[in-house]
Amino acid sequence: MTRRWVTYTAAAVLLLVLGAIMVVQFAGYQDRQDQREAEQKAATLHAAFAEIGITAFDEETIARVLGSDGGGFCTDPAALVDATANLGSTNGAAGPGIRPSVLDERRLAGDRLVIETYCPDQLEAFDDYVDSLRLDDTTTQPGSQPAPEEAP
Amino acid sequence: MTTSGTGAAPPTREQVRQAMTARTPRNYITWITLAFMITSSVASLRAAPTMAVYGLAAVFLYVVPALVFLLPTSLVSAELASGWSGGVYRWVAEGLSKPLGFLAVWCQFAMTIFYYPSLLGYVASTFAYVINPALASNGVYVAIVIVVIYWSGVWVSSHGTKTVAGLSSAGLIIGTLIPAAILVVLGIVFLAQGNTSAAPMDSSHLLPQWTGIASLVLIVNNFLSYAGMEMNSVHVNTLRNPGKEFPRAMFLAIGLVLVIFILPAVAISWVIPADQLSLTAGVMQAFDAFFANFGVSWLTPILGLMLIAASIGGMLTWLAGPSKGLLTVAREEGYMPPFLQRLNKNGVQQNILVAQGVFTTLIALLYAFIPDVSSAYWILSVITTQVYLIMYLLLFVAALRLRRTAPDHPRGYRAPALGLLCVVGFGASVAAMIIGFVPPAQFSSGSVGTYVLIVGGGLGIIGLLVPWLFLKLRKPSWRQPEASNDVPTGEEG
Repeated sequence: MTRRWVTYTAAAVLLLVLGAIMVVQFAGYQDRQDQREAEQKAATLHAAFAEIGITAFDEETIARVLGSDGGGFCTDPAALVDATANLGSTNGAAGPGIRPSVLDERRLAGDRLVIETYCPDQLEAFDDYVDSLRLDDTTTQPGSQPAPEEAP
Repeated sequence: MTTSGTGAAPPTREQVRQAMTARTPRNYITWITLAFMITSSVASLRAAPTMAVYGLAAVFLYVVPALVFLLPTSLVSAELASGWSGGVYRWVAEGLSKPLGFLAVWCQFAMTIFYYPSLLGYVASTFAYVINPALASNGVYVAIVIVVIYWSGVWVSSHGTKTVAGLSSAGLIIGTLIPAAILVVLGIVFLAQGNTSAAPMDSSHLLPQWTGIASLVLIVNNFLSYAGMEMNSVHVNTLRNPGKEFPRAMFLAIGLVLVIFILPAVAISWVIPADQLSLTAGVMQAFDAFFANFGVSWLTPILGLMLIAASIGGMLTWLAGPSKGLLTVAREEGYMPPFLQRLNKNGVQQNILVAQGVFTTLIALLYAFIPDVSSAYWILSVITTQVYLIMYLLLFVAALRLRRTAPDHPRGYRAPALGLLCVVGFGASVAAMIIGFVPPAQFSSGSVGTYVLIVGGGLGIIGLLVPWLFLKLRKPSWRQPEASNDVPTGEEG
């Protein structure tokens, strides 16, 4: 076996081990969520979304994705900054061309509702972050497209 | 065969000469492998949830930049690589001048130093999402992930181009092509079940909503989605028949990049309404929501692993590419000290990679441990894309000049309407550079003038001052013209 194939084999084994860890940990993390609390919060969030006219996930999906603790939303406010940079305000590049682009205004309203529901103790930090943003007609847009009348 | 490491003792002149004239057995790669490397450098699923928000308009947002930036950069690179080896340095050096050739390859290389921490930060957050979301904001965790993966990448790269080619191709297949196919198939299944597409798919939704300057920013910033298509041309002499095979590789890569960017984004928009997509904190949560719709949440950690594989594969191509171009110019013109011209026994520019790694590690540690740095990191991404655009400007001018000054130079491929391609590509690059000076939402403090000063200052320091210092400080003794025709291509074993 050449050294190159040793490297390939090592990479494949590493990937499999990493995959096993990820599958087990992900299942464990989901199991640790309080299902009843997750459903209650999902219902609250769903209603809040409907109130401001945002087409929301169905409650079951919200419960599955956000769990009872809000998942990635509630790790800390710094993570939210990263999240905003990662999704919704960057261009369509996936390589070295990535850079900030326009921000979808719906995102800010929706993020706030999620935090209010799942981690209200971080609401002030989030509001401070939003206040620090430069929101004008060169940096934001009101929403990409109107949703169809019948959402699935 | 010569060997050199990173030992403290300065190399003798003879050692350097031997290192630079080291030849390794030629290990060819196929044009399909090179196409995969090109694709891996540029495209992944990372952007799919972001662009899915735009529904059918995502097609427009990728196709227009493809016409004005992807096609010009790809076709021009295909022509130049089919005629000249050595990548962007050689093209600009032949077309304009050697110092400008150095500037071009420097801009390509310098950009990567700042790219790795953000790329590996994304890997860290993807892994954290699956095993414990709270880890994503843990500086020690992020630093460990960045440093360990980066240096592992350097170690793998030191084995030579062929090893990198194999792993990055595997990363593309496992981490991008297979999951992209899964997303598209699930999307089709969703529609086949009689569900209405979440995003309207009629012709009236083909264009994004026009909201003035913001829309312009959105469209022009997307030009950079295709940045990097030219980078792997530095490996052109690892093909058996570069003149014919490189253009083939480039055409396949163009097709793959478009498919990877467009189809998964549209498939996601069929399933998840835009409102919902904009409520997900990060790429992984968006995919999680997508799979939750089908009741297959167990796919989320597997997809996470696949995305990590794709990112690392892409990183390997960036480690192996620009540094090799820099080595070419360092050896030919002595623009860099002999230490950086050293090769390892596999003919790889190990010391350039190590020097780059020292800077990357330092930046990564700042990125991981100082919240203000990670919060402000986006501004570095703006500056480095601006620096990268300098290279594109030089590339288009050089291509145009080479058609005039060397019309009979043998080329395996001649791009149609090269003049038009260069003008359009140059114009698109200028537009992207101008838009880079428009402050994004994250720039909260200071005036527009301050922002222009910061970005312009960074552009001047990284893109102009540093390469000028290299040129200014070089010594005649660093130049080793006898080694200039020897570009290492492969590896042992």
